[in-house]
Amino acid sequence: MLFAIMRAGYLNRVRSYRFLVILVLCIVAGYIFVPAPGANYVTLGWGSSTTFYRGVYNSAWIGSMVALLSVMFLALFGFYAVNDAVKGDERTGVGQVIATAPLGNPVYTLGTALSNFMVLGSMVVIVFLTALVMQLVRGEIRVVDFWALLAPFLVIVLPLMFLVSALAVLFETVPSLSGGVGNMLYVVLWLFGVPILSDAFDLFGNNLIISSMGAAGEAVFPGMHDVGFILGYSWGFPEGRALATFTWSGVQWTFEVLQTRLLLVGVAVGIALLVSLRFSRFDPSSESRGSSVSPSGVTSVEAHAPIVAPLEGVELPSLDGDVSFGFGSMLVAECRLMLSEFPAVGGLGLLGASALFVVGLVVHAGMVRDLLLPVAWLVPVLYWSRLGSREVRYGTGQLVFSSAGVLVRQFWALWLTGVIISLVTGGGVILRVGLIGGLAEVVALVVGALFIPSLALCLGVWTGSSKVFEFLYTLLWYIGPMNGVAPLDFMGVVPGSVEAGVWLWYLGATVVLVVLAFMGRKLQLQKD
Amino acid sequence: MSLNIQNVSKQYRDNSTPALIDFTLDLEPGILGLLGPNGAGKSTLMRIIATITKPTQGTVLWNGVDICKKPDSIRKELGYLPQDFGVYPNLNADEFLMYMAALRGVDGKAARERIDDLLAFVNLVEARKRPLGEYSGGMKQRIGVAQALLNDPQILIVDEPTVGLDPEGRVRFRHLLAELAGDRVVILSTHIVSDVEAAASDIAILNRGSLVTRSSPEELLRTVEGKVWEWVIPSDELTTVRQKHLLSSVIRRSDGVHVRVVADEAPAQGAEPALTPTLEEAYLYCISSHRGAGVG
Repeated sequence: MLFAIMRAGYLNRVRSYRFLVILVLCIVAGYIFVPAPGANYVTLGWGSSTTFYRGVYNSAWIGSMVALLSVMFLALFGFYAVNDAVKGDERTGVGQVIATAPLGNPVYTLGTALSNFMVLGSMVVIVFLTALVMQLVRGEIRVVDFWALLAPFLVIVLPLMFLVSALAVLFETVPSLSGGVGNMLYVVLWLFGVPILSDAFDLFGNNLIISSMGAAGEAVFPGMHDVGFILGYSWGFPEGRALATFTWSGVQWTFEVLQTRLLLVGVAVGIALLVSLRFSRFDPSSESRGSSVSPSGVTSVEAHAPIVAPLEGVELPSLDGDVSFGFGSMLVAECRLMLSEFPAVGGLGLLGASALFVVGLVVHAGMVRDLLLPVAWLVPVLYWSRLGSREVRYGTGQLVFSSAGVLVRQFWALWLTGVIISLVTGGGVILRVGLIGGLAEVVALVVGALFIPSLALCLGVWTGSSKVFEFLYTLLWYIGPMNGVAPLDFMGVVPGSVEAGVWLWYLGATVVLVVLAFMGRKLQLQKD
Repeated sequence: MSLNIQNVSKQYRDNSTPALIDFTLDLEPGILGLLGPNGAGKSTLMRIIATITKPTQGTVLWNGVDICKKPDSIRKELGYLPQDFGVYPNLNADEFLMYMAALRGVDGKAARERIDDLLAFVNLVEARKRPLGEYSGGMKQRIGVAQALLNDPQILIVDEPTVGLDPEGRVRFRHLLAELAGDRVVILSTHIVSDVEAAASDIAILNRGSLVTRSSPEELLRTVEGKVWEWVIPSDELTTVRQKHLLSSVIRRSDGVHVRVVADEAPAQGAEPALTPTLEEAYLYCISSHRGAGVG
């Protein structure tokens, strides 16, 4: 039974176009992780302004390097690639069949975690094969030591992927984590959890592998440790910097190391089994209306007594009035639909947005851009993320797309709804900056207000899901405005970014995103 | 007012079998009942007319305008109830229909009045403030019917409209279709032959993506006259009869099993021609003949 659940879940997902795209991305990532000697970026090593130290590209180095880089990449992206297994069963109605089958909750949750693991495992296999090919392509050492190349993937990457698989099931089955909040929370967990867990438990295997690499390098180049360590894509290789290589033959995979990694598998199994205790078994009555629903959008429970009226005397008069296709009514309808997304928030959403507007006008100028605006433009993420994906999410596409003027009315009304959210939540800040700052600052903020809904709409239309925006936007928001990385400052709040003209890039990106969204919606209207 | 479907073919990318093959049909105001087995191409045809999907070949003209090139020409006058559709679960019936009215170009007071009329018609007045997420399948279907009629459409396409409706709802919907049919084109696709029998003035039967026949119910019934046979058999012969013949009806009575079979020749000794063949039997005969298996 466990095998059947695992197999069905796995086959259902790998036989999709989306999975093919993911595999291609894995190959691209594997390629990028092994830079050519003359490339203007590095991914792992020690670098000073004059010399960059790394291991010779033998099987041990390439295997460990690609494993270290991919484990972080897959721990983040992989989660989003697999966290729709339970929702998929719910959406397709398979869940109802499973619920009535003689199948225990632990078997289902563990089976689902295992099918997630098989999907992630397939991605790991592709990355591993890419690493193998890259060793031959780079050609520094052509002799392949298969075990040295494979071991880091087996010992470091796969156990963590099992943990991610179980976490995906956890996030899907806990109602408060199964939607956009969970999608955002996982990014935050990853951002904060990676450094903490790396230090405390060597979750990603960095400490073990890098200390071994460092020792080998130090033996050949004394003092190498004193220069900066680089792990991750580091762009801008200084011209004239020398490349110094040393031979590293890999890590000794001791019993203690294996024990630690097996502990991760145990934790993952524990999570999957723990989740089964609270798993609602697709009982519609346990869902909140705001949570994800089947495309039919109906929980199919007759909640009240049937309403019966006599047949006689009911006639349908003709429509009294003309069909006008006004834009205003469409905009109002989209705004109402947007506000209905989270009934639990209800009118408080409007109140909160208005409060942000007012606070933006009155708080201390220093706080306005540094803190208030980033917060104001994080709060409505779940509203923006529904732009463009709602028709797929609720299965209303055929009703909406068979209407006249979707491209000239509904599309722009939808976009404008997103812009209105930006302007209401961030409008106070924009006005305040307008009063105390210059025109360029205001323009940069307005560009930010346009960029966010454009990104949401484009991703929503093309992916049919709110997940990608929730994940990408949270990441962008955290790295750019919150950590002061100017090129990613789409809000114009990082010191120096306005002067550097970053907003111009985002203005261009906004135009491109709107055009792409428009093209995507056009394709949705009349499919070939 | 006319709809002309000319040599339309549809091949989906992920399927080797064409969904529609060189399909031609002309429609004037009235109700056309589309009948056919699963996978016959009915829903594909409906989606093409509703401009949800494009034909691979051929043209569809609405009042002389090619709807593939100018889809809005038909969308402005279209009411469409797809077989599978969703609703926004957090909206109530009023709010959902207001949203759909805005999409269909019906605004303000006219929209509110129309929604009142439609909710009364589909019997959902008392449930109008309840979120659609709490609706049963039948209630949701009634909301689907209501949204399809919001703009008082000149062309109404309904795909399996009575699925999920209770008997009263089905009767009500048939009455509505009959009432609407006077001055507009109505296309009704269904598996339920009695729905077509009650409402349609014209019937088109599809099989394997092709048009098998198009005729009035009376003409279709004439094709099966003298080809429906009934007789009484012992119950242990039922399996054999079922395997050998196209069985249309089985009724168990005290004197044995009364069976009706559609066949060109008398299927057994004692089999008598039925006096009143049904439309369902005419449909079975038509589909079996088209499959080329022979009827007997």
